[in-house]
Order: sequence, then C-alpha cells, then structure tokens
Amino acid sequence: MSREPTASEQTTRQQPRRSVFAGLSWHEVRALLRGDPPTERPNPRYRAHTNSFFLHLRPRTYPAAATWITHTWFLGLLAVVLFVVEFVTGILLMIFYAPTPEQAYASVIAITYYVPFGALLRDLHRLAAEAMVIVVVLHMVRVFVTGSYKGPRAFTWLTGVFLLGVTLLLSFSGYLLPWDQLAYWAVTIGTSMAQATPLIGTELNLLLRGASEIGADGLLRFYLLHVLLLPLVGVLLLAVHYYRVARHHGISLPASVEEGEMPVAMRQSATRKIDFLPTIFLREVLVTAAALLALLAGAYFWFDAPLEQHADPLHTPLNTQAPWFFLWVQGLLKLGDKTLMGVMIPLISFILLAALPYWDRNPVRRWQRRPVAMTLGLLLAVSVGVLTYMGTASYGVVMSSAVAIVEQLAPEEGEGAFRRLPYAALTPGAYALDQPLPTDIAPELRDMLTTFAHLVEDASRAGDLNQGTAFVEIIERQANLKAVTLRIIWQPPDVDTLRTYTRTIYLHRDRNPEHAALRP
Amino acid sequence: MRKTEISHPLQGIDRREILAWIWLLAATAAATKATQLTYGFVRASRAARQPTSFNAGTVADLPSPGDAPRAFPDGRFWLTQTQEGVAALDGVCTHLDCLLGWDEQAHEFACPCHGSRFDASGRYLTGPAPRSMDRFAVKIVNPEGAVVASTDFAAGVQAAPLAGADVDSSASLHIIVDITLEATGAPVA
Amino acid sequence: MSRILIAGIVVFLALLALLVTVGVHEEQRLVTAAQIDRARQIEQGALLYEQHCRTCHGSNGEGLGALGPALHDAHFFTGRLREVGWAGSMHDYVATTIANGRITATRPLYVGDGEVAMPPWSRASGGPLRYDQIEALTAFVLNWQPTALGEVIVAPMPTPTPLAVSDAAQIARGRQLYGEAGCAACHGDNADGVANVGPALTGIGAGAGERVPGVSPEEYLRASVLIPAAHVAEGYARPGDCAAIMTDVQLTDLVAYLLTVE
Repeated sequence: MSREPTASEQTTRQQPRRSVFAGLSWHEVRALLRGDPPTERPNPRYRAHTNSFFLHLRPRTYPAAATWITHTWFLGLLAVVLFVVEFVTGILLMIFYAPTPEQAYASVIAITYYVPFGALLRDLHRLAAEAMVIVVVLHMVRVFVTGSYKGPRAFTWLTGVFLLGVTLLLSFSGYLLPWDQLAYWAVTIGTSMAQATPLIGTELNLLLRGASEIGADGLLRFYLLHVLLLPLVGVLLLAVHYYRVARHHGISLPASVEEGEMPVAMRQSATRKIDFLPTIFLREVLVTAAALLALLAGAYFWFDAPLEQHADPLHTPLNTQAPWFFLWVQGLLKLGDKTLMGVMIPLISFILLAALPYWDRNPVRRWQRRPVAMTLGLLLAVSVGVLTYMGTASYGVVMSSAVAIVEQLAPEEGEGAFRRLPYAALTPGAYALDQPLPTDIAPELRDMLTTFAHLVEDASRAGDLNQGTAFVEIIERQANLKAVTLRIIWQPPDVDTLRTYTRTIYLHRDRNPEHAALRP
Repeated sequence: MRKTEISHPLQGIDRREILAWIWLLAATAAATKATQLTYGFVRASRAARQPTSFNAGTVADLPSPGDAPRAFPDGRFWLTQTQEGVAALDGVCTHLDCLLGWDEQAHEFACPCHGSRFDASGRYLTGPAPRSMDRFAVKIVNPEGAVVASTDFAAGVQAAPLAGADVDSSASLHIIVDITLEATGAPVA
Repeated sequence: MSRILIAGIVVFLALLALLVTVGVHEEQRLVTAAQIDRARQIEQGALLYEQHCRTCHGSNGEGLGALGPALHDAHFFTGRLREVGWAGSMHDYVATTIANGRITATRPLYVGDGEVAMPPWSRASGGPLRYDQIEALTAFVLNWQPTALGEVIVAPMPTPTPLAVSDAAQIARGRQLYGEAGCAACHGDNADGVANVGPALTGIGAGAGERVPGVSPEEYLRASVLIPAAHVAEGYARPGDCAAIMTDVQLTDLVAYLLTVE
C-alpha cells in the first residue's frame, strides 16, 4: 500500500542535517569516517561530546604526545577492556554457577564439560583476570617510570594503587568459587593471614569466613564480595580515577616534551591537538579488538583454567600454593612471623606505594634524572621477584624423599609423568625396579620406570632412603581403566622393620584426550 | 594564575558555625551507630554443627610411645602416647591453618603448605610456625563412666597420665577428646 | 586514516574466523568433554571403591562370600533389576543403593550386624560420601559392564605383593580375640584344629590365597570370620551359626593374627 507522505514527513526529508547520532548528521558521520574535515561550523564533532553520555566522558582532543604508543602503551585502556571482559564473562558464568558447597564444584564441572562454550568462557574469565593483574601492574610501572604521578596527578595515583588492590582482591575472591582443593586451601591460608592483623585480625577472619572455618557461609561471602561489592568499589574507583585523567589534568605529556629541551617545531608537533573523533576513537577500537582477539586465541588454543579435585576440609594436598600474584606474600611467610611478614610488611609497602607522590617531592619527571627513585623501584621489583620464587611450593618445603619422588611422578593433584604416558604404553605387570625389566614393555614405560629407579637410587645413595627399592604394579582393573601403584621400600638404619610408601593412581583411557580413541 | 583575594576574613565563631559543627557531629554519630549495627548483622555466624567431643577408641588401641600417632580426620586431631600419657594433638598447623600430614620417613609431622615440622609429640622442630602443636583436652573414662585420668590445662597437665591405668582392663577404658577445650603449644624460643 | 581502517578490518575478520572455528568445533568438544568427565568420574570412583567398598564386594567386584554380592558379573548387569523389582535405570539403582543402602538383602545370607543388608553411604543418611562421590562410584561400578558382558577382556591381574604384617601388638590383640570370640572351640586353642570339627588354621596365611581364585588371603579370612560358612574346607561339615560379632578394628586384628599363625 502506498500513500502520499504527510506534511511533517515532507519537512523532515527536506532537512538533510537531521541528527542520526549524538547530534551529528548523516552527512557529518560520513565525513568523519572518510577522514574529511568537519562540514559545519562550529565543529559538530565537539557538540557530540556534550550530547552523548558516553562521549561526554571522553575529552574532545588530546595533545599528540600524550597518545604516543611509546608513552602510554595503551595500558590504561587495556585494563578497562579486561575489566569489561571480566564483567561480561562473569555475568554469563553466573547463569550456571551455584554458590553452595554442595553445588559449586558440580556447577563448575557442568560449565566446563557440559555447557556449550562453557569451558571457553571460564578460560576467558580466568585468563583475563590474570592478564588484568599484569596489565594493571605494568600500567603502574609505566606511570612510575615516566614520572606521571607527580604534581596534580598525586591523587590519581592514589586511586590507581587502590584499583590495583581491588584487582588483586577480585582475583583472590574468585579463587574460592570453584570450591576445589586449590581454592579451599589457598583461601584458608589467605584468611588465616588476615587473622594475623593486630587488634582486628580475629574479627576480620570471622567476617570473611563467616564461621571459624570456611564453609557455606564463607563461600557465600566470597561470592558476594566477588560479584557485587568489589566490582562496585572497582567501578566507583575507576570513575574517580578516569574522571581526574579525562577532565582534570589529562594524560601526562612525555617528560621530554613537558620539560622542554626540544626544537620548537618538534615541540609544536608534539603538542598539536588530535581530535577524539575519529582518530583516537578508531585507534582505541583497534586496540580493543586486537586485545579481544589475543584473549580469545589464548583461551581457546593454550590456556585451560585449572580445576583440582573437590574441596576436602579434612585433607591439605601437598604443594599447596598461593595464587601466583600472592606468591611473594607466601615467600615472606616462609621467612618468619605471620603478623610481621604476612600483614605488616605488605600493608606498609601498600601504604608507602599509595602515598608515593606525597613523600617523593622531587619535581623532576625524566627517569634518567631520578636515580634514587629508579634504584628504589628496581629494588622493589627485584625483591618481589625473589620473594615470588621463594613462595613457590618447591622452595623451602622439605618433603621426605619417598613422598617427593612419588609426588613428582604421580602427584595428588595435577597431571604428573605417569598420567602423560600413552594409555596403551602402560603394560600390565608387576615390576621390581632393582631387577632387569622385561623386554616386551613399551619404550615410554621403560623410560618412566628407569627414571623412577634412578630417583630412588639417587636418594638411596644420598643416604636418604637406606637400601631403597622401587616397585611398580600396573593392573588393568576394568575396561579402559588401569591402576598404577608406586611403592618405595627402604630400611631405616635405626629400626628393624622395613618401611614402605605406597600410592595408587587410576588412569582411564579417555582422561587424556590426546591418547584416547575418541569417536562420537 | 591570578591571586584570589579573601574578601571577608573569618572572625571568631558565630552561632551558625557552631550549629553546623554540631550538625556534622550528629550525622557522624548516627552513621557510626548504623555501621555498628550493620556490622552486628554481617558478623553473625551460624553455630558450627560438628560434634564437640569424640570417642577416640580405647586405651588398648593407642599407639605405643614412639609409634606413629593415630589420625582422627573427622575431628582433625591426632592421638599420641608420650611418656607423660595420652595427648590429642590439634592437626591444624599453628602457622596458617593448613592440615598437617604424618611423614612416615622422617617420623615427623609435616605441613604441606609452608614446610613447618613437628615431632611425634607435637613439639616444634623447624619452619615458620610460631609454636608447637596445640592440644585438645583428653579424658579417660572407665565403663562406669568415671574419669580415670584427664588433662588439666590450668595446672599444666597437657597429657592424660596412664601411669595408674590397669593394663588388663585397657580395652574397656575409653578415650574422650573434647575439641572445645584447647591448650596452645609452647611458643618457639 | 586508511591504514587504521585496514588494520581494523584485518583484526575483525580474524576475530570472526576464530569465532566461527570455535562454533564449528563446539559440538565435537562437548562429546569429548563428556567422555573426559566420565573418565574422571571412573578414576575417582575407583579410589573410593578401594577405600570403602572393597572389604565387602571384593577388590575386583567379585563379591566376598555372602558378605556382599558380586558387581562384576553378567548377572548383576542383566538380572539384578528384575530380581529386586527396580523399574528405573541401572544407573539410578546403583546410585540410590550406594546413597541409601538396602534394607533387605539382595542375597539373604548377609549377617553383618543383622539390621540392614547394606549401610547407607550418603551424607544425608549419615554416611561419609558427598553426592558427587556417589556419582563417581556409580560410574565406576557401571564400568564393569563391558567386561561382565564379555565385550571386553582385561589382562589377568599380576600376583600382588603379599601384605606385610609386622605389627606385633596387633597380632597379639588378634591372638587374644581368637580366644575370646570362641574360635578356639572348633579350631583348637593354638589354632591347630580339632579333629572332625574344625580344620587347623596354622599356615592359613600362605594357603588361603590359593583356595579361591581372585580372592586375597586377607579377604578370604575376613569373609570366613564374618560368615563361617562362606568358605568350607574339604572334608568338614558346614559350620553352624558361630559368626563373631566384633568391631572393624577387632576384625582387622584377628585377620592379622590368622595371617601369621604358624
């Protein structure tokens, strides 16, 4: 059915400059995308920054030097992108996750193994969380090296350090939610550290755990912190942080530009104004898309979010380790008193870091002229590195050699050497490793048994396992299921009886998809 | 930048300013009280449901002095016999609450998290732990329900002495461990 | 200006290609993932079986005398549901039985403690197992089906290393129990047997392993203490109802003694 256009429609059509987006006409939008200069005066692109809520958050122009890649490395932008990725993937994961001890682990299993794209979303959420810690720290390092925290940006730095704190706490609170062994014990250690805080420690611990031990209440509290309180605080802090950058002082100019000392022409080009629309906008979209591509590829091809066995409050697994970004605290804890090492030193470092612009009164910004600051910064980086190394499970935790050898080959949690063997290579049999091995076993198994024998021999020679001998039994228990028993027998010098250490692991053919004959 | 001139310097303190300060004080007081009450809400924790005392078998089932302690995973404690008598060692590491394991090879307790070690009677050997293992109260009762021996933390008796116990009737003497009563271990010097 | 648009096009197309790849492979991934999860459950179930079920149903699901029925044979997978009148699936039967136990025995001979045929194992019924553990055990038990029905043949078990019984105190307690529980009435004060009544038990630790294929000496003795009629030695009459009532610790002590009696 066709009809004559009404009078009002006639008028609209006669106005080619009608707004299609934030006060910009279609004509103007096209000019923007073509890279043409504005078609009207006054510049309608600046008007868009008043008309649109999202654009009003962004400055109309940037000085050229403030957007140099070698100055910002896009780290602030990347941190925001990752935060948004966490938000979106987190909300999606919440559809299937249930925060109770009875259901949490099962719901994570369901997400990983049975929900379409569930494993990818969980990998993305975890990968982006770890990337966010790295990016936020790098952002801070960048601001420190370029001296951008000085002068009017002191308070911005302070909010930034608190944002780092929120990032770490978000990661840590998310750690508990899968309710696996890793989650349960890492968070037990973490909350126990909180207990070491003078005066308020016991209360703080109780507040976090909701009881004397982590249970249903603790899980729910960590869940609420993770999905509600901390994101809220994060968004508010981010708003304050970004408002100051965008509206108060802008991104700092590189020190070389700000402190002069460059030819006038070069300086003019460095401080020339670049419009947000379209140049900066297109650049930011490109960086965002590239970051998403990298994240997606990383999560899909390489990264698997870890999931250990169901949390067991009655058994602490060997090699329990803090999350990697808290390994430095675990390293400190191995050094001594938990109040001093676990709480006071991290807390004092945090306060010193947050207050950095208030005690560092040196107005010079170029790193070449701040030897003291650079030395201190480097010292901090090195000590965090060393402490991180000391925090790893292998450092300083002495395991008895029998346990250590078995744990290395067939660990309680994680994969281990025996699990990596092809299923078919596990020839059933009883192998006494102090005797020659049968000739008809798979070469992979032969190598593994030889390794085991050498490890025990070495410990025996070191006087650790006197007359130690190793045994391995491989039994086919069911269709596609083999039991592998590792046994070490030794004769302690001061006791009459022999001692043994035994561990049995079960291996199913389909557990390792690379080895399985998986057909639909 | 142009220097701002103060057009009217503040002189003294007037009625309105006093009122304003009281206004601020009252608002702060109300907010503080509200926070305090909210805290009372958040802090409330449901009572733990686990049992408070365990029957840890009979004296006849005890490990001999010097033998590996016996684990009671449900109560998170280990029963050991020392020269002083029967002691129930809290299996939670005094460092950061990980659960200790028994290292058969070294004949010691070992913490899987940060490597603290304790001997079979719970005494601190090495590692970052601040004190020896904690102990729970132990009572030994005869079939009639009378207490034959018990710990007395107030008097410094940290193990239930077995010296007077009749060996023949040891299979009928039950060991009761009360996990609500606990003595902290000796601090590391 | 054009450069940034071209770069954007490249990145967006790469993103699109990756997303398409993910979408195409997801169906296959879910099939694989379900198999991995089943494998994970079977592995976990095997550990739990070793811990909780072996003492009544045998290490290999062969059943122990009348103590616990076999779980690894064709009868279990083809006849059991009809036998007990279960209308649901095999999976539900196994999971429900583990969780809630069975009030009446599937085999009437069970003596246990005389109350229920199989105790409940779920936490809700006072047992030690979580819901996911019961699911894992169920997956493990159901994995006996291919061998039970003869579809798959597994390699025979190598001879296991005998249990080292070295705890003198335990053996001494077992010796004492032997007298208290009334074993001596038929098997003699020093376990040297009573003519025509009960066979000598000396050296049974070495011999018990050969009497019934696939049953270890430890399991053989355990079953015989609980149900004296479980295994009857040649030339002797079926024993009367002289089953011992004892705790699990006592039973272990007694078996330790019998394994070492010379």
